[in-house]
Amino acid sequence: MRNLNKFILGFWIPCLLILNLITSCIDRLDFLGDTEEGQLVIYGLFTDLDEIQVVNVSKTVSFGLQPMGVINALVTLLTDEGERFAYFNAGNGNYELRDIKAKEDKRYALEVLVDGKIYRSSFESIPSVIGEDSLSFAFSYEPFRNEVSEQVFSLSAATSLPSSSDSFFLRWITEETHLWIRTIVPCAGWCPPPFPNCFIYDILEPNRLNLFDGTKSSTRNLNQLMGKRSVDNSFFYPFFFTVRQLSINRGAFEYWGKINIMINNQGSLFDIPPAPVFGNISNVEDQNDLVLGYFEVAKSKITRIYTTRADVPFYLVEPCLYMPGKPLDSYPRGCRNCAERAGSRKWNELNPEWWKFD
Amino acid sequence: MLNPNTFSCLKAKINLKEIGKKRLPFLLYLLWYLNILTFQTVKGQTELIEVSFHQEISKKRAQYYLTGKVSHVKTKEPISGVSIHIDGYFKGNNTDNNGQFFISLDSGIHRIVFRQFGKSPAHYQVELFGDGQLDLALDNLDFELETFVLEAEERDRNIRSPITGVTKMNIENIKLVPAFLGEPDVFNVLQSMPGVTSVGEGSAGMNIRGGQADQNLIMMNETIVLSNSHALGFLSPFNGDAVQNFTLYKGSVPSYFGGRSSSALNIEMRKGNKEKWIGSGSLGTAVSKLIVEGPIVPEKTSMILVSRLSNANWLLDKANDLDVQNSNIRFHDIYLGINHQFSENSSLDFNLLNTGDYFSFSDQFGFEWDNIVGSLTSRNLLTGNFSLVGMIAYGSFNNGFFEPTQLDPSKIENGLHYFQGKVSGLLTLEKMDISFGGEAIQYQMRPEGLSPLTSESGIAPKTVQKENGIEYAPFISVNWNPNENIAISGGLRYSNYVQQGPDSIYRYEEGIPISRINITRVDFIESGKIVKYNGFEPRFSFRWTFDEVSSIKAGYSVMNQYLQTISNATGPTPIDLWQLSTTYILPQRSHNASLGYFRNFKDDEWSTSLEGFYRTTGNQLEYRDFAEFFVNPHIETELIQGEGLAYGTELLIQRNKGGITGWLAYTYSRSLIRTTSEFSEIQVNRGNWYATNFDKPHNISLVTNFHLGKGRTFNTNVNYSTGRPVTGLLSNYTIGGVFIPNFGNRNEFRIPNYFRIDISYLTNGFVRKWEDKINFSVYNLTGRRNAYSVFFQREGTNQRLVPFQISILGSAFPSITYTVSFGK
Repeated sequence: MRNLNKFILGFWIPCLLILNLITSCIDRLDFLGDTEEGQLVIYGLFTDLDEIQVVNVSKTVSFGLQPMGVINALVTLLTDEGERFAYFNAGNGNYELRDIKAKEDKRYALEVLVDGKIYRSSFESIPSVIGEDSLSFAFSYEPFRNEVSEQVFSLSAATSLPSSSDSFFLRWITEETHLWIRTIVPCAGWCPPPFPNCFIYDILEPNRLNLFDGTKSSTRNLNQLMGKRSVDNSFFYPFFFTVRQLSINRGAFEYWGKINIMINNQGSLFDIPPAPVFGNISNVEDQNDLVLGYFEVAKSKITRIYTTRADVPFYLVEPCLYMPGKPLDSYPRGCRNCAERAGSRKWNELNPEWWKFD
Repeated sequence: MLNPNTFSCLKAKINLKEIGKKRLPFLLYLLWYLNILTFQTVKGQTELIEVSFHQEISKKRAQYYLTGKVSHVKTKEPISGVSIHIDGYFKGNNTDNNGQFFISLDSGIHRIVFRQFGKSPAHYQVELFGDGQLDLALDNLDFELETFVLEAEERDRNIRSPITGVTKMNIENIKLVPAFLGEPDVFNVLQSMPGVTSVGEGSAGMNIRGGQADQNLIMMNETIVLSNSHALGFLSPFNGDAVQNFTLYKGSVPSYFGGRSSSALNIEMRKGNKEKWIGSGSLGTAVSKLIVEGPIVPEKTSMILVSRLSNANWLLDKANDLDVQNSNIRFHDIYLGINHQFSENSSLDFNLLNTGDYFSFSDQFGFEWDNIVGSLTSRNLLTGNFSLVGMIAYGSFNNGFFEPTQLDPSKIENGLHYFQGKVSGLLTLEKMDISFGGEAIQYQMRPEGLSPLTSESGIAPKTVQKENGIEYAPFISVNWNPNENIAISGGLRYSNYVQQGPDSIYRYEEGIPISRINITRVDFIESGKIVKYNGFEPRFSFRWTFDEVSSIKAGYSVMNQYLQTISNATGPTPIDLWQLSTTYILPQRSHNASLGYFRNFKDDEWSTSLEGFYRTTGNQLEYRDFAEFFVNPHIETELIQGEGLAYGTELLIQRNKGGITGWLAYTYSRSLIRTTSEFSEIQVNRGNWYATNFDKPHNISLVTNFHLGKGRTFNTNVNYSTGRPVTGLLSNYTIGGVFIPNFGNRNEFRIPNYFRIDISYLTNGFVRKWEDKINFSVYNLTGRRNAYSVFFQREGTNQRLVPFQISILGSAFPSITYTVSFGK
């Protein structure tokens, strides 16, 4: 009997303790609250496409919140031939340049004047080769945001890479655009025109940076996942996915490579420790005045794919369907107001020119 | 022998027989806890062995020599470091590495006691009227006593030993420190001693007196062991059941050790039993072990085989996380030791250590590495006071890192092998012993290869040739005890290093930082010398004992290091690359100074010490931001060198005997570095001093052993340390929809402080007729989630990045090991 007691105490109690092991070893920290504000961030993308070229100028704010747009900057595009093209201030720190696109025989730089200080990027040229993307999508039921399975949309791209012997570096940006139709309340007699449709834009899985170094692989056909998202009532209407392939230079590739490392660190033993990332923009008079961001000149190619309700294998409820007798204020606020629906996402009421589907 | 039935007590007289032994441990503990009882043992009858040596009357002299050898009564192995007390005094005489002693005494009758920690002392009455040889054997101390006694030599060793900053311990003590999985582990014990820390959980990567993990010379029987990461870093490769003892030199390293700039750790492995075959088997919750030892040729040749095998996968299956469930961990280690005694004065030892590890995390990534170290050592006593030891060794390890689910599944492999040879002589004189010799190590790095893991992978196979080099050094060391109160130890080592071909030497554009984009040409050198470095390494240590119980010690040493690991991970990893010095990577050179005050109390029942140290290191390696180390033919472009600075104080309070033993260690230390490039753009933190990854100013360890009698002990280990530095987040910003963290200076912030309690209970088994034992231990009893590292992630749908801490062990980790011995 004594030996039996020893056995119970000595073996089974530890086993039960093991079964009660706490499973998660990740906890939120509050000790890194000493954040810094006021650091200048400049980002510009200049491509060879006929599109509006955009530069964002902002400053960081404390507590790690979204940076604030700088509205009083003067932004100019420079060429190595001495040309200067002024960007138009579109508000909220966005500066736009129309009717200008990158050409292979020129080199470009960005100059930003803020608070009396001049910040200038190095001169960059546009790469000459780019690949060809072919998109596909799939719906599945699998764990995504946590261990519980849910309805998931996945976008993939098959890319034919250039067979050029020149080194090339690729980056992809995947944007989603979905249609949103507000609740249409029937009326009799003279009625105001119906609300225009909303188009809501977002980056698909922003933390997924798809990068490819053509100098490190002999692959010429690339298959990669461009992003995933949960399936929600956005898929009730046509839903477009825009994949922009950018052929960038080595400096920009290394910059995005560092960004990729930082936003995907998981805290494991093998993580590369984080560090400040500085790009190709600097204060022309004070090298100690550090600037965040990058000015990249890229060859670009855009590919799109869309889904309709018919593609979705899950049951979806029309989100803003008018129901007689239901009080108007009991509809979701997003069914009355596009801004409410979009939240922090970009939106407008203009049909994109590429919004065409069967 | 001590009589456990009689104690003198300051406030009460206790008759143990009346109380009954069963209740004794609890009662004694209670009295001790209430601070109303102190112990003082009363010596009983001592067995005195009388021997006499006589000379012809015509050759009579005033002094005679007494020589001899001390060995273990069971294993017959010589015991080094046995203190020899003559007529009640200890004058610094110890047995040498071969167990030999040589002393000169006045003619007459002397009372001589041979003592060593963990051994029963041997008491002799010697009639010395002629030169004599006295060979004797010591047995292990019987720990079945109600009290545990750290024997005299060990108790006052801190006062008497000439070298400062030495930590020495044998397996009996190692087993008393609670450990992960209940496995007695040298590294685990060391981390509870002052001046020794680690960046994470487990045993990987000891940082000794502010030094990097690769600045420690780790040896098994003086054979270099380079690959020390085992069982994901939770265990050292040295199975505690095969360890005899260890010695850590963290202050002044003797000149017969070299090649690292911080410390030297020599782990002596056990030799097999020479009389009969014995063994034991253990089954644990995560590890199983088998030990077999015995005579191949009785009294001549013995062997010991100790193996350890993991069975931890069932623990992973219990996790809720699918990725953890799909992970796989395997490891093993095998130690084989063969000893052959040609004669009383000549022996040959063969040692072989093999470890293997495999770990895959779900189907995302994995590692595998193996390590083998073998040595052949010949020990010869040529004359009564001169011995010669020769050793040749071979070491090899291979590392692999694979990523099965990447865009292009790939595998990276690297490794190195090395040959080591060492010859050392030891001349023992009356007040001095002189050791001298030479050591050479040839390193041959294996080519590093990147290969596709599957046939569909687009990875282009790539191989990078790595360096070869040879390091050699003559050395001499002298220990001199001019009188009882003073001991001086001095030494000199002249280390040389030659990088040998073949290798490709990249040449870079001058006037700008070297990088892969400013390579101007490549010179290929087929063979011969590429670059050579050398330097004198003086070593000095001094001890002044100004009374029976206190002494002051000081030490100074210079050490060069030609082989180092390079890594940009937060801590040591199994796949850290070893890197030889090259044209661009200059050898490290450290200057170490230490000063200590040692004092014992109450007849050496308590030992205390207060030590300070200061070290500067030149050419300490750091990684550049976002360095890429793997398959990089010009690794120097990812590195930057600088100067290191470490300083601190260490306090140790140790109780050596009684029902409760243990120690309290407190260390205050800083470890800083600054890069010293002439180019500001690659300077880390703009060339300012900053904390190293392992800078943890405050460290406290409390180890307590409750000796409950009949082989039962209850042990606790409490650890607290300042959180280590990390690079933290200053702000967030957005580019093209991507929310990007903006990090501050390297190691500007700190993770939360570390706190952990471990307990273990060692007891006899439950089968009366077996010699069985149970080790029940709980690692991290309070289940505290100690941060190992910090990472930044979005929280839910919020774009803002917030810091999270990751803990390697997020809960209490209990384990139980059942061991059955046979043949004893």
